[in-house]
Amino acid sequence: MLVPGLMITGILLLALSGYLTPLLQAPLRPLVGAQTWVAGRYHALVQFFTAPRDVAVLQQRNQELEAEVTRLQTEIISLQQQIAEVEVLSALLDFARANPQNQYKAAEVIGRDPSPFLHYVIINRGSADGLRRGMPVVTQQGLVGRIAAVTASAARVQLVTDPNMRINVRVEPAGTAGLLVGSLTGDLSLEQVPLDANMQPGDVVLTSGLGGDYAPNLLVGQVTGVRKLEFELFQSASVQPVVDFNRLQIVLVIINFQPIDYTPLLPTPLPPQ
Amino acid sequence: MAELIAFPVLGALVIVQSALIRQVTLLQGSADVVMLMLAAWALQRNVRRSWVWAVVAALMTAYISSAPLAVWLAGYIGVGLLAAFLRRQAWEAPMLGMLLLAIAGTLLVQGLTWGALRLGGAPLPLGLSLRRVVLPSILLNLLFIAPVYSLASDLAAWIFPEPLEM
Repeated sequence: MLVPGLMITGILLLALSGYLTPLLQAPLRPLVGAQTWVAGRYHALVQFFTAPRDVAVLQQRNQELEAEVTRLQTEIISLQQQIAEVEVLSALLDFARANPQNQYKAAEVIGRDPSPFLHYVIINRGSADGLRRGMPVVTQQGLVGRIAAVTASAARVQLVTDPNMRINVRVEPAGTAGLLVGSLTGDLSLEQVPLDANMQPGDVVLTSGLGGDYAPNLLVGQVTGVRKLEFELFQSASVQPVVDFNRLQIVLVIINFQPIDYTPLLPTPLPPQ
Repeated sequence: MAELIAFPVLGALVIVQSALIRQVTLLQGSADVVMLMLAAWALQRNVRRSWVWAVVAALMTAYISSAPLAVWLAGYIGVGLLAAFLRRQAWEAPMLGMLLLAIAGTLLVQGLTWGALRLGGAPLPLGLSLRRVVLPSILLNLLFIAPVYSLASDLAAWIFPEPLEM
């Protein structure tokens, strides 16, 4: 009785101390391998029979997810557009608050003149909204142009860069008066500035209000270069407009400004007697 | 039917021209899909009275443009007449006709616009206008001739279906 007991105790001690592990693993290894093989075949069989249904389900799920992704991407683009619009409107609101002397009507730019020779944009507000011909159009950056034609629900705005545009301006800080002229290329040039006037690159160009076409003190641009020749009557300058006319989205129309028509005051030639 | 369909088709094209095509510029030039559509339409074999399309297009374009109506009328009718002439001469090669019309039409319409603006006193130097507006516009118009011609062909095939041969 003592001997079997000692043997069992010895075997247990050997097993607990790990000396019997290789001995025990040898017969178990083929068993585990066989079970792994059987289980693998079973899973392959199950997959074989269920796979067609799963593919259909996955395809349907994939389509649903793709539709969801498309919807979310559309929503993201829409939200990004709304954020951009809110930023523009916020800036315009700040501008309107900073200039309380004017009344504004916001309008969206919906098109451009079909001819590339003409620098005009079309806005989605018209005479029904109180817009009239000649009203100045601005953004938070500065002067955009003025309304050239109006219908009930839309208006055409002549940009300051249009070749036919002439604006009486003042160059600060010297306070020099000049005439701002548009061009085919969209560049602005400052003409008819007296030779003795002090004008430097970096000076700002504001509307002077002379002629009654524009409200005074609207920012138009900045002088980038001065051309001054001793034998000419006037000096001229190139001006960088402050408004990016390629990215115009929303503009403000100053609706409480009435342009002054002084043509009746111009002298007319007397009829021959 | 062919004249009535001009209103929605040209109306849509004028909107596309003003809202989209004019945003795509090369230097200061831009394409004129309305002019290209008139040319492509007038080149179609079964089309008669293409001048009606030209008049409708001129009226619609002049409504939103600052250029005088006479410029658009003369330009677009001129393109239509030129296309009708080319159809008789080169009817087997419509794309060649479109190519010629894209160049000649751009020169005609923009030349008339330039002339009218110069008469009005606008400072538009000829060389600068050619380099910065006319030549880039021709290039952009050439990019649009194939899609516009196929659109006009499909439209003509829909309006004037060919009789079935038994």
